[in-house]
Amino acid sequence: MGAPFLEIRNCSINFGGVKALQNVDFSIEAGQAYCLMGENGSGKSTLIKIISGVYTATSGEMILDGKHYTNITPKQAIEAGVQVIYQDFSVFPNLTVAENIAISGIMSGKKKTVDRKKMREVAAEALARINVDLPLDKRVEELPVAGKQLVAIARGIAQDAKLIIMDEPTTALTHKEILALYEIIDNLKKKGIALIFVSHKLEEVMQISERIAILRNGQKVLDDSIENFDVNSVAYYMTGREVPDVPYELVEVPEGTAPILELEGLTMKDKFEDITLSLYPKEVLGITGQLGCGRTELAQALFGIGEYTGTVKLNGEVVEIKTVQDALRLKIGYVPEDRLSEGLFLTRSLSDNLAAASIDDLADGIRLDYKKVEDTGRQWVEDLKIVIGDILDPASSLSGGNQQRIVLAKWLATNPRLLILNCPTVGVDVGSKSQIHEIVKDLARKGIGVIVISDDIGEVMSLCSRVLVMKKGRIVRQTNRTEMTVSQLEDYLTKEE
Amino acid sequence: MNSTMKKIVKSNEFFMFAIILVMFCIFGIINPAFFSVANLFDLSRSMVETGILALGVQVVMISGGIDLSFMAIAVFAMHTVSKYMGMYWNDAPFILLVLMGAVIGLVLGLFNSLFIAKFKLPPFIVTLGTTNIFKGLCLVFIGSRQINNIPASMIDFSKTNLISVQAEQGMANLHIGVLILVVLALLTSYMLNKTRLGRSIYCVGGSEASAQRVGLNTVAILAFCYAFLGAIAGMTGVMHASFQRMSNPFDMIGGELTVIAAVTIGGPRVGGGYGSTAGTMLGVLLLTMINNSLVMLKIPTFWQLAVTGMIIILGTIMQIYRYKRSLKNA
Amino acid sequence: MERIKSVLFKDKHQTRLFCAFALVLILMAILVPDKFFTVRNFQSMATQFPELGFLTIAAALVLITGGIDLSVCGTAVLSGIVAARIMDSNGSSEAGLGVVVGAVAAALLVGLCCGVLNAILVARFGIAPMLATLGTYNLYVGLGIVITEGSAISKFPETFLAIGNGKVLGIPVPALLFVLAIAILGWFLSRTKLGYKLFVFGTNSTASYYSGIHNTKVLFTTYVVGGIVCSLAGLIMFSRTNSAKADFGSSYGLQALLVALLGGVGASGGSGKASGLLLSIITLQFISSGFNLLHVSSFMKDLIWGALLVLIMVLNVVDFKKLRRKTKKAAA
Repeated sequence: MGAPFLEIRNCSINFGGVKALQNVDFSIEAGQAYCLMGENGSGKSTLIKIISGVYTATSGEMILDGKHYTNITPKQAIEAGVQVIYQDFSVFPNLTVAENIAISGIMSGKKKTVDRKKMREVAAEALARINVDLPLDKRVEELPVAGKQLVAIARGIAQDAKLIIMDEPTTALTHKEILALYEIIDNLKKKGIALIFVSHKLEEVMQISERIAILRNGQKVLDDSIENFDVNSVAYYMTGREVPDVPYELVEVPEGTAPILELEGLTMKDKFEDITLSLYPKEVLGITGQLGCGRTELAQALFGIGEYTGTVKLNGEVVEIKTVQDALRLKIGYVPEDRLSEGLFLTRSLSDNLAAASIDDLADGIRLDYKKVEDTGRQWVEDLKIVIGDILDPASSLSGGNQQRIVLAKWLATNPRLLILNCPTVGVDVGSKSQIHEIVKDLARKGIGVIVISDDIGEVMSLCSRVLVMKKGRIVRQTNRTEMTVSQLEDYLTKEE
Repeated sequence: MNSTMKKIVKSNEFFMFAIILVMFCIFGIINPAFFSVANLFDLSRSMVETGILALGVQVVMISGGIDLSFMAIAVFAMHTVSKYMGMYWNDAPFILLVLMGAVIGLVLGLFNSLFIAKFKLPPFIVTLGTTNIFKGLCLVFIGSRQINNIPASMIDFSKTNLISVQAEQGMANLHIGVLILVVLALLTSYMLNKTRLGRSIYCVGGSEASAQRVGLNTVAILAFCYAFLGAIAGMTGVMHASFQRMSNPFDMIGGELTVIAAVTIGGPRVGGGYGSTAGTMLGVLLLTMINNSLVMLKIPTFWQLAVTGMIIILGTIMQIYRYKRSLKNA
Repeated sequence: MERIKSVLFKDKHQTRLFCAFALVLILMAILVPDKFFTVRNFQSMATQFPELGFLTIAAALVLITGGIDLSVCGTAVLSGIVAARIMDSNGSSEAGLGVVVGAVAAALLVGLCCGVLNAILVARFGIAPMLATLGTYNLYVGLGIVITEGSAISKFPETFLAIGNGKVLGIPVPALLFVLAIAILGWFLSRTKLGYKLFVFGTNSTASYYSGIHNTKVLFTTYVVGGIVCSLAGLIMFSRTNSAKADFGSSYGLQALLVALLGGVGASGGSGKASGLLLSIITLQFISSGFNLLHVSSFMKDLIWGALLVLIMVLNVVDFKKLRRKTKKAAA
């Protein structure tokens, strides 16, 4: 092939003495799809910010479309055809689809006024180029997540993007939407657009990119064609060590064992219907299904959020869970999906974070002894081997994996009978992921009932002893892990009934 | 066509309009004098000051901010212009006085922007602080006494009418200020909807981070919003002194919350990114109408504030309810 | 000593506030030592600041939840007026102790109800606190005007006047009440379960909900306690001036927010200390009394208060060390 569209030579950047990137070389050709991988803090987002002009490299040079740059500005990068699609898509919820797509064109043009007709034409054309149909006059806030992403992609297209960088493009999409995205990506490649993906999900990386570059501690440790990899070797290069992936041992449930949790005909209007299941001691029950299948609503119903009908039995006793406080009293814990907005108090100390769910136990009447809160916190940090500076540091100072362990520990501190984990390892790097899995397995071994909700098929297969597949609010399949292969599970998930 | 109609009927502005129409009819039935030309002219005249200020406040609220200092800015501009022009150039043309007020307001608005746009301090705190600063500066250095010797053109302005109609009791006059309000409203509406600048204000209000990523200069855009409100406030200050035929530095201050309330009833959400000039004007009309009509409805005037409070509460509850329902339907 | 040091210097905002406080004291010591440092001056200052101080406590509590309460002054005025009306129609200045006790109780009850209404609007209807309290502010003051029919109620019984003007061991009663309130606030924020919940809720209300904290309860408690504290301010205010009028202290509402923010309560919620509030209100009182003694225009006070707030906020955000390094680099 011809000259690379983007070439980075010997690029380094320091932040106050910390070498975030060291002598990194990178190049990508038109029509090529690259995957950029690495654990949190490995420097991959720094590299992207250098390409898009947000950061200026301390040394090294960049050649973009044949032009040399030493410090490119964001505006120059956009003009040269670099478009970044961030994880949150950077759309404007209050504006229409048409305006969102055409916005960059409007803002960089010469005219001071806005021509709405032209705007709609630009938007329609961009959408046509990726073969999708969206209502141009709808406000973006009214679109589903996948729609927002399409708007972001169309915006890049409308800007004549030659290189599109996507940050974790699939985290919020359903399986079907992901397949549609792959198709669009193929289309873009055929049009000669270069693509860089940043992703944690190894399976998806394998499907969409031709080459992988792996960063570790600010250095590029590997850059090779995709065929030379498998899941284990990628994990090895990212962490620099072998990551054990030992599936949870299967425990035979002896006849007559009383289940920890039994659900009978659980129904929530428009969300899920007639859910019947039981969870036995020492079992990890996995619930999987596409986004919007009712899995999150089911988990939340057991945690007292939302109104349901049907019976819930906990250790054989019928219970009513109407509020979160009821759930807490019944010793049910819930690790939410979005740890930043739902799980953590970012500016508060780690000890405060750890105490949030068990505060009523820690307090002495209405009085609260903060020394006791701190000491209890330290104990949990030690028990779960969480890497922290000081117990009084804010939660924002930790990495994703350690933050997730703080949220887990918050619930363990309530001494739960039943713990529900909703996508426990989203956005967590490979190393921490397996450590979190080990913690969860340990809990199950101790007899705590564990339900894991996840759309990460690898995670479900390694962590759970039994798997339920949900579709359109119903449980459509229920099997032991051993009776199913990964590809079978994938089929169940994607097949239309 | 049908879908456009549906959209209009479902819009916040239509809803406001319907409420106003209903109240209008009720008021008219209770007291037919409500429909008289004199009363309608009077009502429009009462809308002028709040209305013009609301135009500026809405721009700031669409950008996702808030400004408490605009009344202090208005008073500062009013008192400065009245005092010095009254002393040194009593027959300066009115347009010049208004422009001076606007320039003074613009400078004070830019002072706000320095902290809000540049240092990224929370607008509520900054403008709370600058309210005190502007008020203090005005009272200490410009003067704390009422000024009666204001430029002659200001007094002339207060007597200038657009239309005069013979009514049952004397003349019914439509003041020229109403025209100024209408022109400014049209200009603001054009700016917000049809210009790049206006659209970028909505962008910043919708998501500041996204606005930066598409290459917008958010600092400049925010600076513009506060400067715009400052200029509007400065103009209104001069007009206020003209209406009152004197400049009292203790006027206006304390009324900022009422203007914000009028804007809020008209639509913008606190987070920013939403709102329209039509909605804002309807909000101002609603509040003014109720406040102005209590006397005609034979309700003692001391109920005025309590009624305003109830309108704000009911208005916001209604808005939240409608918003939640629209999300459910989507 | 170590403890004092850690309290003052661990928190940069607190340190800056303390510097401002010390600076004011030193200025007074140089300029008007004989007039400033007198028992009478201190007594008069101690009578003046508590009413704003109580409103500040209420404003601070709501700020910690991440909201803004514009209605504090409205609550104070309305509850004070209800008490005044009760005393006025039961013997005016001749009213007995029973009537006064009843009036005070009624005022506290009104404060509580105002708090409940605020909480219902915020917690049940989900209205942004600033808008909800903007509405209730108008409503409360408006009701005050309705009750007084726009005029003032005056001539209260001696027993009631003692609340705002009495002295115990030479210390004015309002100051004693305020110090007590600040002490309780300090204990509440740093030593109780509810204080912890308040902070956690203010930091991230979604996460506190998912942690099993009863958010609605936290909000109700905050607004109700705030309402009662406001009614205390109203009682002191009208007792001190021996007159109750609805537009009394209408600028107090925003001033209370200013004092709270200056005292280090974060506008985004989840932070704030009782000691900061105390330091802030005393510093501001020193400034206004000092100006009075120096015969500087009393409006200068507004200017200084506003400037101080903006200045301290800028200092909190802008890292001047970094700025200096940059300029040095540019020069070299």
